[in-house]
Amino acid sequence: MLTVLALSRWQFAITIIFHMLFPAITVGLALFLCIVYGMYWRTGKPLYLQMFRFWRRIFAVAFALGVVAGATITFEMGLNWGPFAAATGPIIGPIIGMEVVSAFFVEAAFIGILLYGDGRVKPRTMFIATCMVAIGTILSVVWILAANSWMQVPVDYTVVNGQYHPTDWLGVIFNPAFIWRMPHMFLGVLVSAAWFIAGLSAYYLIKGRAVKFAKSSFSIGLGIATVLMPLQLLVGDTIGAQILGVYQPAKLFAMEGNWEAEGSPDYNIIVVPDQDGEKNLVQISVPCVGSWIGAHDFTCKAHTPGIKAIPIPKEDRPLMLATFWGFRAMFYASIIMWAMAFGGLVLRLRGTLWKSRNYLKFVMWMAPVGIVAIIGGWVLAEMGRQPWVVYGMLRTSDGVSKLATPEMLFTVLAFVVICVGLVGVFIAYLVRAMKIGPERDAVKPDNEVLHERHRNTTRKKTTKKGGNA
Amino acid sequence: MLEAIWTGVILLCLVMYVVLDGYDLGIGIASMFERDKKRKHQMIEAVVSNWDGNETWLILLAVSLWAGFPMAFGILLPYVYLPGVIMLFALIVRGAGLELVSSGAKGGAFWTWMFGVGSLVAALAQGFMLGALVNTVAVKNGIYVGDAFDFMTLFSVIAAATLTIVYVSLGLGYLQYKIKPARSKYRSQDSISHGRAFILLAGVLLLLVCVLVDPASLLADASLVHKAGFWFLVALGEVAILVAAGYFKTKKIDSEVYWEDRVPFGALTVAVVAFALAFVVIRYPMIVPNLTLHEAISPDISVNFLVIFVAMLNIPLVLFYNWFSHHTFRGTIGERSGGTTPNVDSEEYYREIVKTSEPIERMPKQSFGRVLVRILVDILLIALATVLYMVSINIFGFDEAWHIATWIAVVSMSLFALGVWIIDDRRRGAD
Repeated sequence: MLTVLALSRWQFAITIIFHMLFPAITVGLALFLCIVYGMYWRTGKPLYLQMFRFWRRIFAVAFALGVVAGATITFEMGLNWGPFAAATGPIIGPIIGMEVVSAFFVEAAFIGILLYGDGRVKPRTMFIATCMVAIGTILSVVWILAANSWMQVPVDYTVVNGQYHPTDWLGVIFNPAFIWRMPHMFLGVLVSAAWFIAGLSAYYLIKGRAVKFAKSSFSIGLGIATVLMPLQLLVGDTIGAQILGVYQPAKLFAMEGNWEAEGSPDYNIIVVPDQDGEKNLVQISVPCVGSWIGAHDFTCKAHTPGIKAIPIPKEDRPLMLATFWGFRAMFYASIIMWAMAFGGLVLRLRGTLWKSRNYLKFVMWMAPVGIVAIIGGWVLAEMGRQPWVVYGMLRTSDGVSKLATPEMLFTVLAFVVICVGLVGVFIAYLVRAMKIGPERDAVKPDNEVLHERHRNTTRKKTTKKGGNA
Repeated sequence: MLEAIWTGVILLCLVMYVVLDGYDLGIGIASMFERDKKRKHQMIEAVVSNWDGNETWLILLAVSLWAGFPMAFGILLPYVYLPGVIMLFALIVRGAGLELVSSGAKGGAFWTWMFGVGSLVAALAQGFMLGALVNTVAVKNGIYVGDAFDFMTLFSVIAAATLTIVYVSLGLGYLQYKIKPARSKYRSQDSISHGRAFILLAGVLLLLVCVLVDPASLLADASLVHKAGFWFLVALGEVAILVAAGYFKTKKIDSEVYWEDRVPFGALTVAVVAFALAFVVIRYPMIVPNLTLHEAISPDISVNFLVIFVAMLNIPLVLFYNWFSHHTFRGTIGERSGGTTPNVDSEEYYREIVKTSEPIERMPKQSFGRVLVRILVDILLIALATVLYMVSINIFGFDEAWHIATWIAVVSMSLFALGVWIIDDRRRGAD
């Protein structure tokens, strides 16, 4: 069990999950901050500045943790996966290089202004800096998905001395998987940030604190989630049918949890698979729903095939436990998000949204649900690709560095301590920031320098409005 | 040609990283020895607005090596695995600590300390990694097959010490013009007063490294021109270091910041560039004694892409971003600018919050039966819609037209949600 390969995989999994927790909220938050600051810039309403400042506090720490964890990933590609790095460097390297120069540097240079630029720069510069950070985070999603999608569906390359050389850059970057996975991930991070914002705002609505601030934040969060959820459903469904169905059937069948080749029209809700015994130890399923979801067929005739339908050796199958539950985590989370988004829509139509205490409470507790969905999705994507690191071409076991078990054991344990510790610290920070609340960020029009300056510089004079909250 | 250009880019990343992150790692190390709390705070403020951009050069350095010379990246990183991972630990802890301190998280003193320790460990680890490059690396079929501690030699220990001292010098040189001297109850400006000693020590250690490189087999086979070039650049670097030390003065309290105060950091930058070039002169195109750049380079199609899109299109922009960010936060850091942020740990603050909060509106009490009926009606409606959808699919068949219809239906749901959101916000904004 404690082979260097297994330890390296665990280490990568731990660090990349730790990393993913933060971009899952910061990409959306960056865009949110950009919009909110833009509203402030245009209208001069102190409420928007208060929103900007409060969410910026949370964004600051989440972003820094995302950055340092992300730097780790880049180095691990070489440290733990040296042969993989050497083989795929000519293709993955330039793509990540583009990510560094067009995304990381943009974020890194402007985050300082976004966080500490108050009073030093004009509101216009502040707005531009905020937008640049948002653009940087979005470009980061684009490039990293291009790199990962090529590993899922490798195209347009030749193999020279065991090294992958690109033959057509456009084909490599816009590969078939990228076309759908990029929007999927982009919508995913936006939705997850939207629920995060709505969830934290719900806390203030329940407590009756800073109600105007909380209502505005909550409304944006819920609004974005409700608008994007249907689109996400379409994109996600297309990935299942057109990417997995065509290029990676093993992943598709493993995530549905069936073993026998003929499969079943039922939909598995809970499965505890036995990989060696090629059967499920526990299996709870709903009749017919599988053929509805899988083949859009309501007659109960279409079967979801099992993993044995694919003629590959037993040990080359993806681990069903991880693949199935990675998918289910994403899927179940999305069902909750759907129900709550459209439940919220109904409440809005009835005009009772702000009075529905139980609904708000539930939304508060589902603040991290989008993050769970994203991590589940990545577990599916990466574990379902096994035993390959470049699908069908390079085995994960051939990509691992020849390190010693003791050193690997040491670094895995140290990473566990650091990652778990910092997640704890982040949650503690979040809870404290929540308790202190947005009241400290309330802008008092009489002593607010920035606000004054803004009012003097904009041509359109806005009527002075009182403080809020 | 391509190879030379790309090597130049990697060298640029290295120099930018050593100078920029060097000063902030150096300030981190120096902050551990600073007793004056106010100064400690100023040191953090000097770093916090730019550290992210500085550290990104390290990522670009790694990725440039990976993309341009994948074999070198794949062999060398496993070779320096332990210092590499320990550097990552240190950078994680340090970055997190820095941001937590400046965001006012609990345990500020602890995180300030972590920022210092992390900086020190990261600097040492990077020194070990650089120092390890003089050794021959155990390679078989393009894969590193050596042991975990192959990187550890007397030379790499000296390199680690040297790099750390260079970083501290850069940090103190940067502080020289970033911080206005202030009254302190401790002896005049504590850490800064040792600046000259640190800079001179850096000069001595760098010279030692250059002398030691010789028996490490590098200078032996170099041509006379290369040797002359090497020693010329080393001499240039040493002169720059002497200049830096000469201009590094313990300032009088309440004195202004003059242009001379910028000299130490500028001269140290020149020294870093000179020493980096000196090593390139005698080593190019060798990476480690048994691996050259020629062997490791990516195919032309990849390097072309890198040179056009990364180097020519983006690196000028990157340099601009770096400049812009430093330019925005130019000037000295004085006493903490008095904000209006309330003391959030005071009882008063929370009493104020209780005063301003308003009780939430509640729904009128409803009987359990009515709620139940309502939920049942909702479920029934959803079930009805599903059955309708299923029946229609079975009538029409799931063809392309039906697929498009489904898309339109779902997108219109989304638009409907958008409409409700906007109308609701308008209505709320009105009252």
